[in-house]
Amino acid sequence: MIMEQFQRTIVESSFSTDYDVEQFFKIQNQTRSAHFVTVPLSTVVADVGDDEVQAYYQDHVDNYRTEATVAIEYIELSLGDLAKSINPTSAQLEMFYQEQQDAFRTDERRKISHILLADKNKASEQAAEIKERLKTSSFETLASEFSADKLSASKGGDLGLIVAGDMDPDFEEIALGLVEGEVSEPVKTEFGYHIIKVTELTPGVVKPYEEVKKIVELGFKKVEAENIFYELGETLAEISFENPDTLEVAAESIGVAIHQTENFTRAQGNTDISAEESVREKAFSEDVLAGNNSEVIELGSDRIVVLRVLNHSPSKARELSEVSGLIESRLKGDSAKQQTLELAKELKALVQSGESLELLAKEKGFSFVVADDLGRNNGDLPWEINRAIFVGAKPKSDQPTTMVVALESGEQAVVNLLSVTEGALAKANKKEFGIARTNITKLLSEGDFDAVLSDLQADAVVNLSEQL
Amino acid sequence: MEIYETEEEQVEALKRWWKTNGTSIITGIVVAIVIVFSWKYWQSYQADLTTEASNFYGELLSAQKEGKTESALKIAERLVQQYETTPYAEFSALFQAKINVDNNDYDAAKEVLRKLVTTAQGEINHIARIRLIRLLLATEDYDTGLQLIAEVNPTQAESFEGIYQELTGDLYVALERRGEARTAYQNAVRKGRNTPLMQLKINDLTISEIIEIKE
Repeated sequence: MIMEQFQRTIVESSFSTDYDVEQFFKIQNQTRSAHFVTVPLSTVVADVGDDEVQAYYQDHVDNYRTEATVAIEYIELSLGDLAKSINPTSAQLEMFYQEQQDAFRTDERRKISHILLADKNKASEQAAEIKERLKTSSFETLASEFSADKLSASKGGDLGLIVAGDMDPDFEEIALGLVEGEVSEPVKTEFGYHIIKVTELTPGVVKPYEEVKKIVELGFKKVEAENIFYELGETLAEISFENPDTLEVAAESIGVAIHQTENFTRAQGNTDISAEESVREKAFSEDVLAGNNSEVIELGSDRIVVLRVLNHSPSKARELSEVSGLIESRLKGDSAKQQTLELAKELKALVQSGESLELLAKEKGFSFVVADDLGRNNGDLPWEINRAIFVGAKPKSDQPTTMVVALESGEQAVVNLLSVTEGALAKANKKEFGIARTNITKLLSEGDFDAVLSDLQADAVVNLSEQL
Repeated sequence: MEIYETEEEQVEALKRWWKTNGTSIITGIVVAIVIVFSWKYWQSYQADLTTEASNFYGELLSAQKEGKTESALKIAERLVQQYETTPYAEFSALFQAKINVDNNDYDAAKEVLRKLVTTAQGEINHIARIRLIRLLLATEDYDTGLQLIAEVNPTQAESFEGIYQELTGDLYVALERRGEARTAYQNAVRKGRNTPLMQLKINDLTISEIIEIKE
């Protein structure tokens, strides 16, 4: 109670001043004006000497390593394979069929109608009358005439298919005992007296063996295979552990073949069993790389695998001759970027010494862009340039701030930040000012509350440690 | 301890001891009973008072929520005056200040908060102090603002340090001491107060003229 009030106190008593709101708009709605040119990536191709390539290779040899690979051999126990290997005799199948008859049974369909006599005093009299009149009239007619269960009465008393357990036990016992077309004596329940008729009855049947032979066989195989699967699985685990240097003993004892894979890496398998992440994980585990059989690996609930490494190529540095091409083009790219940067810095120095960025651009054939009164969130300029314009130091009295800005493309921009205009929001614009104020108050209240909360937590920790 | 030969001797010794000390023991017991009863009474009196204050305070919260600031202010004033010994007096003072600010009466708000800064403990003290500084900033009393921050013992304000640093930055911005402002804002970020607005405030104070965004 008091904690909730405390929280509300901190949050709801928070306020912000006009000054807070004005300061926010000063920054948020600030506009800045700038000029810039983009220095394109240099097209001068540097000469990269063999010695440079070699030096780079030696400094960055770890960037040019091959990935470790392994090839494995493995044995696999699969429920599907086991099932295929089982050849039941027809005697076994028939026995299985007998045991599993419930699985091959179709349910009985029993449709019933009833007449409910709700008035207990008149019930026996009405029952007698109904019994008499059934000789000449149909059950449906009498149901609509007599039954107090109006819903079923309008349908000739029809209650639909009976589902065991849904009805009153006494009612159900009678209803289930009737043959098709038979009408019961009145049955008492809490609702009154019911006269029940079975209007449709399709007895449940057990499908004959011949009809379901295929399913019986599949079922038998599955059950048998499962039993063998768990048994052999245990054998596999034991024997492969007891003979860590070979799969042969285990393979023989469970009667499966040893398979092999091609080389694969930790990250990328082939289309064979190495496609499984858990297989690759085990194949590259310390124990397996040391030459031991792996533990049993479960692939889903119906396959298990034990593997060992066939051959292992550890990660190693690639030869210089393999990668010199890559290094050369990298160095050429770096050089082009460096030349671009140097040109940009040169331009910047010229601008700072008083030359015009516009004229310099014209001289070099670069396009000169004028960006006046930019908003903070404009999306027209490359983001790097916009960011620089809004992070750049404010120019001091007609002395623009000149910056070199690297673009993602490798190009460099020379940006001249000319002026900054503080943002403003007329206080007269009451609605917007009010919204801003609400938001700023909320922001401040969140900050206040976070601080209070972490202070309370810190206190709690101290108290707790004192108690301990 | 004395050792007594027989039971009779023991009884005699007890009687002697009682004669000399009995009265003062009885007085002690009576005093203790009185103290316990008054304490119980005081406790239950306090509990009643607190329950009463809590109910009033609930009314304050809903009045404020429904925008009935005038009655909220009245309840707040009453709680501050008549329920001084309950935590609700301090809670209410914070609302008193807020409502005054919303009514553009910054002086009244400052007075309420100043009082809290001298009397309240712990979190409430920090909150009152922080809000008082925001008002001082808005009323151009920057040096007092800096003074209030300087008074804080940093070892007991770890959780509030980020806010204090931000306020320090705000005060220096107002004083046009941009370098110190920037340092304070950067300290605030280091103390975990790293809001988007904070980043804008820092970027607005860039000193270095060169920006090269590294690859």
